[in-house]
Amino acid sequence: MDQQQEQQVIAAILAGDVDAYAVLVNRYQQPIFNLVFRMTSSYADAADLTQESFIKAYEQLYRFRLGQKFFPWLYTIALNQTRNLLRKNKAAKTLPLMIVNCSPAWIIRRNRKS
Amino acid sequence: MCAQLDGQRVQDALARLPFDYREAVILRYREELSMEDLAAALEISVSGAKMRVHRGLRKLREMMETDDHGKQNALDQNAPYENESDELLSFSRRIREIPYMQPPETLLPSVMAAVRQKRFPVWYRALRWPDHHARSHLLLCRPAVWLPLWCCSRWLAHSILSKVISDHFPVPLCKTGFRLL
Repeated sequence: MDQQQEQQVIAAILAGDVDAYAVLVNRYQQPIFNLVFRMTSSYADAADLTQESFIKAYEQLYRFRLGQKFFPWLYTIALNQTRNLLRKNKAAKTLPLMIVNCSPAWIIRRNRKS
Repeated sequence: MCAQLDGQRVQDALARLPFDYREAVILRYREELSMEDLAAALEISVSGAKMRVHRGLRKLREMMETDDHGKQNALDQNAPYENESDELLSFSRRIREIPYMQPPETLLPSVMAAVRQKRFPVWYRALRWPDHHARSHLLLCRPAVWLPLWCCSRWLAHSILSKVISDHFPVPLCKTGFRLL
């Protein structure tokens, strides 16, 4: 499947043919899954994140400029999705420490601010 | 056997490479993207992408030359290479031969099931209206369809409004004695 066919598939999806998206998923699930697996090094996380990023890509597909290449775009989405999750995990790990370290009054003030 | 071991070593070295360089090298030689696409995927400039690939390869080479025991690697029989392009070729071949991890079988069906529930934003669908609602659009074009609907809605509105008004305002609303409806 070359560039032009890919563009046709995306145009078909945007015109309402949802099932055409299976072509794109089939084609790109392996590289995307491997990317996420390299980043998270957990099979379950990688599967979830791959699924999420494909769904996100579909939601945002109307923003995709035809003429652009699909793979770099999808790759960026998966990368950002994974980065978000990693950041969230990191925050979840570090937050308790921060709370332990500071006084309750500080936490209350901080919560009131936000 | 030797090739297999060699591939394994490349894979290990890649795993130890810093994230940015690893992604650049893998995108370039595994997915075989052009430099422009690579730059787009990593959201950096083209010259930055070139630099990352170049440095990534250099680091990879350093890692493989001095393995964790610090001794020269004996497995790579072709080393030292006569020129850099030979070495680059060999690297790209070995990186291309790294096996893919297989995603689960349920990925495609679950993505498709989720996607069928999704809709593009209303404004987008409105912009592409005849495309998205081709059939209903054509159907409503025929007076045989919309005329009865229109009449029914008018009759319904008239009956309801007149009932409501006569209930709430038993006295005529105007001096002329006519009700407004």
